This record gives sequence, C-alpha cells and structure tokens, in this order.
Amino acid sequence: MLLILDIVRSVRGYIEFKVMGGNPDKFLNLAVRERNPLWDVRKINGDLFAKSTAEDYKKLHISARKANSRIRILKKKGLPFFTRKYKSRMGIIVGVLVFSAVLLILPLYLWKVEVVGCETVNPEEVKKVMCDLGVSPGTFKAGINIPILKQQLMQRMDSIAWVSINLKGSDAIVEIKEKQFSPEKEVQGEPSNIVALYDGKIERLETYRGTPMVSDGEVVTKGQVLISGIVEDLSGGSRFVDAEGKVYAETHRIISQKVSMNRVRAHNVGDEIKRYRVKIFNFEIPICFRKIPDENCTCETIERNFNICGYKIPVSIYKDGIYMQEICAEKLSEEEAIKEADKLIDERALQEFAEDAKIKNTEHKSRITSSNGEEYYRECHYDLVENISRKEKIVFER
Amino acid sequence: MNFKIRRNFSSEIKKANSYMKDNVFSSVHIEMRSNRELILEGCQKIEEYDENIVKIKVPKMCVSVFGRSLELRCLSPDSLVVSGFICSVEFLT
Repeated sequence: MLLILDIVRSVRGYIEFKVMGGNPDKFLNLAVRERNPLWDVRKINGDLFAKSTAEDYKKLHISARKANSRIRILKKKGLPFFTRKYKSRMGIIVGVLVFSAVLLILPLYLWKVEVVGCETVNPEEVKKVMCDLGVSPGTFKAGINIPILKQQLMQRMDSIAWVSINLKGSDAIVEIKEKQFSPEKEVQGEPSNIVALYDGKIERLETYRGTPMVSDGEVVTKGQVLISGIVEDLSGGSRFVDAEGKVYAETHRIISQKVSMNRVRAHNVGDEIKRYRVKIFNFEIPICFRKIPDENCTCETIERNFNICGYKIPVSIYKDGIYMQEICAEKLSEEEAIKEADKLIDERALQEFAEDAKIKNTEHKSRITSSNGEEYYRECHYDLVENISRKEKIVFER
Repeated sequence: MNFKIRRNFSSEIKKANSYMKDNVFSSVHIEMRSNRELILEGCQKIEEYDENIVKIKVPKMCVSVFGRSLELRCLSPDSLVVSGFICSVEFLT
C-alpha cells in the first residue's frame, strides 16, 4: 500500500522543504487546515522538515507567512521535474520507448523459417509450401497450429515421410525425413531382340541375357540384330527371352542448326533510374516514389539482406535499376552467327547423346544458305563411342 | 393532538442528532501498531510538536504522545500518523 502511495507521489511530483523560524506548530496547523497534504514531518534542531505535493507547495507560503516562518526548498523529486529537466532531450526518451515497444513486439512474430534434413527435396520448395500454409517470416507465432500444419505439409508433399516443426525463439525449424522409395522390380517383358540404333563399328559388347550375334570390331548397320532373344540350350531346343545388354560402337553423328542473320536487339539508353524499397517481414515500404516510364524499359532488382552476428534479420533493401531501352534491328556478323549456332548445337548434343557417350572427334562445317544472306547453316560432325542398343519385340507370325 | 406528536418527534430527532454529534462523530479513534506507530483520527489541532513530544487536541481532551525520534508520517485535516519510538500516551481531560 505504502509502495503504491510512493509511486503515486513520484508520478505527481513532490517537494521536500524546510521551515525555519517563527512558529512551526502554527504553520503545521494552518497548512493542514488549508488542506495542504503534508507527510514525513520531522523536527530537527528547531527546524521543521516536511514533504508536500508540487502543486500545493505554492499555497504553503501563505501559511508560512502567517506563522512568521520561512520556507526553503531542499529537493524536488518526481516525474514532472524529470520531464522538465529533459524536455529538450525528448527524442532520447521517445527513442527508448520506441525501442522497448519494438523489443516487446518483434519477438511475437516469426523471423526465419529454416528447413533441415533435405536430401533430394529442395528446401526452397518446402519453404514455399509453408508460405502457402501461412507460415513465413512475419507470421504471428501464437496463431500457428503446429499439429495441423504438420498434417497439411505432409499432405502437400508426397516425398516427406516425417516432419517436425519447432518454434525456437523467433525461428521456425522444420525438420523433415524423406521417403525411401524401393527400386522398381525388374519385370521380364516379352521376347525381344537388341538391334542397332545407328550404323557403327562395334567396340564393346556386354550381353546380360540372350545370344550375341556380333563380335568386337564388326561393322553393323542400323536395325541389325546385335543380341538375339532366341536362346538355344544344350539339348538343341530353343526358348524366347527378353534380350538384355549394352553394345558400345563407334558412330558418326551429324547435328545441324540454322541461324537467322537478322536480329532485333534492345539496347539500354540513358541513365539508370534507381528505386529503393525496404521489406520488413512481409511488408514492403517504398522509399522512392519515382515514376516508371511507360516506354520500353527493363528492371534489374538487387536484394540486400542484413545480418547481426551472423543471424539473418527479416529486413531487406531492394534496389530496382530501371533502364530505358531502344529496340533496333541489326545483322549478325559471320562470327556471331557461328558462335550462336555452335551454342545451339552443343545444347542439342547434350540432349541427344547419352550420358556415357564419349566424343572422340568433332568437325564443324558451315555456309550461308539463303540468297540474300539472311540465314546461316552450320553442321557439326561427331565421331563418338556410344551405346547403340535398342529393344525390338520378336513378332511371331501365325 | 397531531401537532403535539409532531413537535415531540422533531425534538427527539434533534436530541438524537446532538447526541450523535457529541458522542459518536466527535469521538477520537486511536490505533497503535506496537510502539512504533500511532494512527489518530478525529484530531482538531496540533498543540505542540517536537521529536520527543506530540500534543494533539481532540474533542473534549488532549492526547500527548511521548517518545523519541517522533515524526508525523502523514497529516490531514482530521487525522494524523505518528511514527517513531513511542514511550507513553497521555490523555488530559
């Protein structure tokens, strides 16, 4: 009770004063009669020491004058005197209050979502699903229902066998265990032969099932049977199997590509227009309000994140660099056409050739095909060793 | 007859009011906590105040509190709190 009283007095402000001379007892009676609150009254060496509220102090002078005494202020304490003293430094106090509010409010929200335990699953994909389910930096922590969230995540992602979500401070840590899929059981299919996919010279033959019909060093043509699905046993009988094997042969492959010499390109003109945005949790606050021109332009965005002692905080600054563009038609030179054609040919080669194919030699040939020089034709000849086996079903004629 | 009853009734009310004023509302209430604190309600005036003696005028008497290091912890128009080491309390009628 007394503590509450002290707090109230401190908030309202009080003054400790000394009454000297005259009749201190009369002063006390007059002050009390005028309903001036007094407390901690004590007498030391004839002088009266007491405390009163800051508002009522002015009225005490009247009582002191009537009692022929003098009042002297000893101390001024309380919030009104404190604020008056630091009135010119209100910014510090406001800053402290804002900081305290930020310190109390920010930990109520999620700052980071971390995914651990991923082997084949992309962690960004898990984060995207979590975001769709309403869990991302900026989510109110108390509103997260973890058991339901776990169920929903497992329903959305089939490759997850087990998931655990823990809220550690302001981080959500999602630990997942992926499903272990069993390998597909090899099912023996219908009787088939292994035939050549391309013409070539056999370098190596690996027969797993069936009867080999060719040997190393032999030249084969496209469609020729390399491993037969007919197997003869020792007693002279034969049976039909699904032939299996790998046949590596030296082949000659040609990949060609046409490239148009006429090109439409966009060039950046003028100065870069910069725009900045601040993102706090999921809220984007534009700093610059410069208008984007309506004409052709391109925008490059650079994101800058901030760390405190290695911990990523949910504050990012985005810089948009906007360039005006001018579109113009141009003609490629021969070198540029060759470069582009080679790039396209290499991409096609990666797709068409098997992973275990080894390229022994390459030869490029090129020419301009159209009469007005608008098209460039480029060929690439590859000598490589690759697996030319292809299954072909054995057809039984009735 | 009715006038006589009404007159007696009003005089009785006046008598009861004066009795309440003199005996109930004008009485002093003293509460002590060990010998360290004395709470007095119904004071009219402080006759004398010193660190060894506090004389308080109350209706129909004077209360003197003797001790050492006496302080008036709280003062209001009709009550006060005396704290310190109280040795004795005297009532002078």
